[in-house]
Amino acid sequence: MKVVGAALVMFACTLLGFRVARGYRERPKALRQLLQALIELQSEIEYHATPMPQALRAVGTRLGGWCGGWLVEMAKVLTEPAHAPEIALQSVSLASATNGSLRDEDAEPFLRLLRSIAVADRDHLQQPFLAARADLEAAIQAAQEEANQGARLWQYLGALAGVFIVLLLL
Amino acid sequence: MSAADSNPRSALAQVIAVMPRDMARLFQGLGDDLLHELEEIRLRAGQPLELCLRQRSAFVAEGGELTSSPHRGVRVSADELAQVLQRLTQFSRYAVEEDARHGYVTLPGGHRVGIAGRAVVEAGRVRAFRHVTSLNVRISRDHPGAASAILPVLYDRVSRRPLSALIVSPPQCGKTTLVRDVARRFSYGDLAPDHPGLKVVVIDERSEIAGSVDGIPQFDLGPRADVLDGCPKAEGMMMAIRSLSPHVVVTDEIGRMEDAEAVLEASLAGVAVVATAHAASLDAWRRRPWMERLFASHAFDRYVVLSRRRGPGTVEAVLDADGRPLRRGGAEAR
Repeated sequence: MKVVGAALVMFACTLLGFRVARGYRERPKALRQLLQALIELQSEIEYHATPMPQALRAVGTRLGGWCGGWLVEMAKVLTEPAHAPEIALQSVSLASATNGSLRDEDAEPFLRLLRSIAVADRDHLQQPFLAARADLEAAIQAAQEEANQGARLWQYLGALAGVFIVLLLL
Repeated sequence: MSAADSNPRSALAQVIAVMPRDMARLFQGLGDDLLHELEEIRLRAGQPLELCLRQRSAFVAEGGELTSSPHRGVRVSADELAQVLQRLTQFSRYAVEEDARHGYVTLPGGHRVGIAGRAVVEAGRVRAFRHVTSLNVRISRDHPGAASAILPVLYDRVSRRPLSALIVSPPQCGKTTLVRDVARRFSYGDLAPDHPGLKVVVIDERSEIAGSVDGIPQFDLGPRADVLDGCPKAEGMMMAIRSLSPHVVVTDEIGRMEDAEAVLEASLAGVAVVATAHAASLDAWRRRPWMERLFASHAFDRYVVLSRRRGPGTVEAVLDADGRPLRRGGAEAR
């Protein structure tokens, strides 16, 4: 009975560690998807001069997944008359869209971009896109480094915590 | 159907959608008869909200009732005006840059919004407007049958071909409404009982004739109409002639040298052109640069002069290619 209990504790702790580690690994992946969306949005807006809500909807539909859903939701709130646009955009949560892989603050480069291009003419579209891209690339790099360290650390921590609790209980 | 709908509320839906919530509520309180008469909504920063109706103008007071006193009118704040402008441009000034440079933006449904404010000038040309202080929303409505009075003179029964025509009038006399109905009637084949419909290409540079949303016409233009939405007139006419083999090209507000050349080119190619121009009379139109040449070349077979004497769309005169009257006075197009 004790052995079964110890095995269960070990298993639960290791699983917990792996889950936290997966969160670390998901974050750079999710940020890369955000970057991909930004690149597609840039061509939609710079080349076709598509208005923002339609561009967000078109890119979102093409991309699909959580990122596509998030973009389509932003397009939707932009066309609803209920709120001022800045407030409307902030109401679309990135954390919920990604099930917690990203935080709402991670959307800031994207939202800053949308605020900038809303009032930019065609000659001045490139700069905000470059800035947002640089911000996202930096975030990806930081998230990758964090994932390299954090993911392995949490895997070990999970297993070790399991061993520690089992030893305590025995 | 949206703006094309005869219901005044659905025609206004796209306009109300760009208004801040409190302002939109005021419009929802207005009666249908009033909305039927509504021609313009004027928003000026710090000034009362003004409605221009068919025969009068009035300010909107708190609670939605109309008043002639500017002091009782609900004032439009600079912030509200900025919000309207953001929604008008769909948060995408880059997408409407060219139109805005000419002082207007077109809403879905063909409602044109005039812009006033401080102009940003570059190399002697207006590049943009900043500090926008006024917006004038011109309500676009469809009037099927508006062209009934002039349709017989736009068709040659002997040669069985449509004739080129220029609709001339000052602003707000119903030119666009008239050409929209001409396009629709040609497209459906309402010219003669035994005449099939004609292939119509609408060059809709300002998206007012077809009222397109995402390229899809919101007004009924019949089964044989192709729309070049947002396309410059002169370039569009040449593209249409080369690749869409139209019987008739319909366009709005010609006035530039390249427009005149394209109309001439179309007439030489055997394609009828139905266009509009801003002018109080044919003589006034002829005095504009490049237009006398167009007149002298007989590019148009008919000139239709409109006024508001008996309401928008009053046909004052129908003239032939030499400017001689075929018919004069008072018929109402609508």
